[in-house]
Amino acid sequence: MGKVYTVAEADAAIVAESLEKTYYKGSFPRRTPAVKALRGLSFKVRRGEVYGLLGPNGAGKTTTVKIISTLMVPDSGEAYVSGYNVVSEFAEVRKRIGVMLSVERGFFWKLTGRENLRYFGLLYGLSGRELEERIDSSLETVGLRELGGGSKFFEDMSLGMRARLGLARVLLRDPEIMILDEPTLGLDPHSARHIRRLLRLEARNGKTVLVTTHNMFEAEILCDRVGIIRSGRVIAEGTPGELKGLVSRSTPITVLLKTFDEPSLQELVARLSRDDVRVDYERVEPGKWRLSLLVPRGLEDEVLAEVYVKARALSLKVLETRVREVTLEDVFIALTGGDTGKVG
Amino acid sequence: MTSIRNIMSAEIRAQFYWLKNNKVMMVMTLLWPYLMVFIMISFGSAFGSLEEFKEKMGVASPILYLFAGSAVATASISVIDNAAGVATWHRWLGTLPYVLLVPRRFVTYLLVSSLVTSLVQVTFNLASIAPAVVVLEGASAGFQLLLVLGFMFIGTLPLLGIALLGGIASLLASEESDIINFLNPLILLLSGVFYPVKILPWILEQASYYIPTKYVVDAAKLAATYTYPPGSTVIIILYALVLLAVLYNVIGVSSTIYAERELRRRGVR
Repeated sequence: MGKVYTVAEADAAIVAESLEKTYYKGSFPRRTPAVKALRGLSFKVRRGEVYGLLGPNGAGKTTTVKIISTLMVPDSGEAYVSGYNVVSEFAEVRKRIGVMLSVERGFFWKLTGRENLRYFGLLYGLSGRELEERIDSSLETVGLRELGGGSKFFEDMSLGMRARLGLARVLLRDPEIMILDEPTLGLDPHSARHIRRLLRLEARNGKTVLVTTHNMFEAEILCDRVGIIRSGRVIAEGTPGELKGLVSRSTPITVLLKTFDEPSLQELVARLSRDDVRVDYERVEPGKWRLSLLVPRGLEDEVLAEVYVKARALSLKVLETRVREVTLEDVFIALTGGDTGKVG
Repeated sequence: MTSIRNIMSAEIRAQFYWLKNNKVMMVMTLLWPYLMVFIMISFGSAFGSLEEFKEKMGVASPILYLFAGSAVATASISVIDNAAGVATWHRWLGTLPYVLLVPRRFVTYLLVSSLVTSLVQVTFNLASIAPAVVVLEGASAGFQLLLVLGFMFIGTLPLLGIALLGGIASLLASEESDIINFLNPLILLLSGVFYPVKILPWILEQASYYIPTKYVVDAAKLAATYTYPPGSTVIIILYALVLLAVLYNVIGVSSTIYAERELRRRGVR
């Protein structure tokens, strides 16, 4: 039987409540907990919206997707899709969802795009003329028809074409809810943009889309609402605008530095970090580094002066400094840390 | 809910596409039973002349038996490979989550899918040797081969139960296990296809009564001896096959239902 909704949940397509999941290593009787992937994760996805689960690697995004897709059972907590429990009513859930888990795999290598779709279409209950029409329209929608993807073996397809075929399989069933795990991972910008445009279009046509990503830019332009996950919990949720508001009292500053001496750079980061100043760094190219600082409003000049003085003291050359508008990436950096959820 | 007909149709098409797109493999599949004939002749030559082989194996037409027996052996290997390997194969391809998402119990998908692929392979194996049998032994031998095909179809059912167990064990093993490859030599060893089971040690001879392929080999021997096999013997063989089918499938299906739960607990990869 479907779940009895509360008024607040009436427009919810997906509800996850206090989900917990621990992965174990070793085999019986010497099984020991290895990773606590989810620690009371909760979120709701409204009908017709694109909801993004944003988090660093190991935050619990894929585990969440697998539980919502009925491919994994949580240790505790509950999840509902269209009011059906993902554990006890998994058959009902499966009728309503289209799932894409991996861009690279998931099809028969020696079958063409069309043959693969025909196989999965039959398994998902389609047949005859309806199946052929759905194959045609989904190939058309994802742009594989013009690329000849229907007659190409899966093994000969580029990563971009494989992602499109994965999406075509999702669309084949015309599901109420689309669940996609990192659908643009590893794709070239053109293919990634195409996939994002398609997902927005599907949401406009009334479908609900749950998508995971660790791409901030993608979350910002694709999602109506975003849930930021860290260590198996949703630590912030809202529209990209609302989330940016969480750090509105801060100003992001980018500093480009030239050095081949990484320990000195780490020393600079340590010297600049304070309770009210968050500092992160990444390598842009060999010998070139980008510092990202989040500083309280009004202290920009003071912090910048500090950067110049401390960098010179460590013989690091400042190439460029830039004061920016807040992006979702700044929110993400401000809210997440390096915790990957390892137990003990 | 996806109908059984849809699952069957999907698997038949996949088999067809697979053979169409892998032509070298298709030729090799057709030649495989002939290779098995040569292996059996080599084994048989250990018995001495063809007459001695006839006597020791208890068949009237050794040529027909060699072909029918080789088809039974290759078909038995195909059933185990296809049915036990289907789940592991899906995992290697990355298609396992997508077949698990079929709105139907996993065990139903596995059983129907394995049955279809196995029957296609069995038919393929027997069809490939049919021309040689008809040329060497005449059209009536073709009819007797059909009888063997019928027994092999029934023999597929208990083999499926064994295969399900092997497949599930492979899927649940933490490492990439070689359980499937262990099953085939074991079944061939106890089937008596290469030699009479009487020459096996007592314990193995007793174990052979639990191997479905042994009864299909017995049927092949009947077909190679009589134009119209005695009804009582046929019924005993059928009875044994049906009994084993029920036994192994009850165990296989229960284990698969447990395995599905275990897979969802661990998370499908």
